[in-house]
Amino acid sequence: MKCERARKLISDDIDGRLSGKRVEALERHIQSCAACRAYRGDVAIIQARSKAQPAPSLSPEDWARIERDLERELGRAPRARYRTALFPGIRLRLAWVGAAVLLVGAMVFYLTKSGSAGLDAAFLSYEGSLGRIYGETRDDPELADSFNRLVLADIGDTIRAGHSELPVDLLANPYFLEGWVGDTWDYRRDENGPDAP
Amino acid sequence: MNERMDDRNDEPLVDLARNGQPEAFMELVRRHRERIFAMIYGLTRDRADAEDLTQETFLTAYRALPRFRQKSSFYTWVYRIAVNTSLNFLKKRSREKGRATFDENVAAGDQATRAIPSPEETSVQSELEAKLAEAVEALPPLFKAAFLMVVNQGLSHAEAARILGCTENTVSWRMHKARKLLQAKMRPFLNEVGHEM
Repeated sequence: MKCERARKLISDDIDGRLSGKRVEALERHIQSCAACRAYRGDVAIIQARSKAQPAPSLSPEDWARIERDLERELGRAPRARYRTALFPGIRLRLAWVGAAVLLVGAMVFYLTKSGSAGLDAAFLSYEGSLGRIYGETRDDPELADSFNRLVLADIGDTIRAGHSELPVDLLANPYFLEGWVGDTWDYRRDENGPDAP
Repeated sequence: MNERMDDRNDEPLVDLARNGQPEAFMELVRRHRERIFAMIYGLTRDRADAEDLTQETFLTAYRALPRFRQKSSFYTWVYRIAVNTSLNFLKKRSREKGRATFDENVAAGDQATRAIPSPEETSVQSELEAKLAEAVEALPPLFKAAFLMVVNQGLSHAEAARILGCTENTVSWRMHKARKLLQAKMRPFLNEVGHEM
């Protein structure tokens, strides 16, 4: 096991997310790696110290003031009413379908350009295509990043162009599409790497 | 699910608030304000900003109540609004001041408001806590949000993922990255306390 992967597992272990087999693999690595042993000691101290920090709070007087301000604002706010939408979520689903179609299109574009992969790969399933691309880009972070940006840009353009009246503003959500960028890409690549279980 | 997330039944109050009874909403505010404030303060490290953002969070929630479909608990929903509101605020603040200036100001303000004693006066332990607070403050906002939720507020990765609108794996990855950054920053100070914890 590589140290980087061991340290990810150490983090999961602290948060109680590690299953039996992975705990065993981690412990084996820790026994043979002084650097990771020291790292685990460090993050254990950081964890304990962080948890021990007292929660910030306000005085009853401060809360009373905030409550008064809020009550005044609620008086001005439009009255909350139920609204029942016809076909709720359909437009949102259409946006996702559009995004998925473009994602596959982008994959085909990449595979065509890459030459070695060939068009056959375009007929793989979604998961299969993704796995293929992970494989192609594993050793080339720059290529992985470029591909990632291409996919993100396509999805963003589609949503902007075709679904400007979405019930929620997806692009204003700071978390939308976050799962595809930077770190998570590295994580997924790591998970699909040679030492993945 | 973490008991703290759904420990009281908010639904009757939510229904009353949706039907235009602000006093029912104020009761919901009283129930959850402490934890919402603690989370916002953890992200902003500024008491006045945290007060304003707490108020803004509840006001946004009140206005958005008709769209709240109760797929999650009221608390989870408001928590998500609080995190989004805070992150948008941080983004805006860093844009206005420039990242470097912002970091310097926050660190300086933090030191001043917490009245950290001089190195001569302080014990190794309290200095460590001050350094840790600075290191957490310097984390990228999304990593900091995950770290505060999981470590300080005791949420599971699943709960944090629901609030942040991402996958559990993304939370897990952010926790790993946050710990790595904290460990790198805290390494020079951790030798003094040792690994006895």
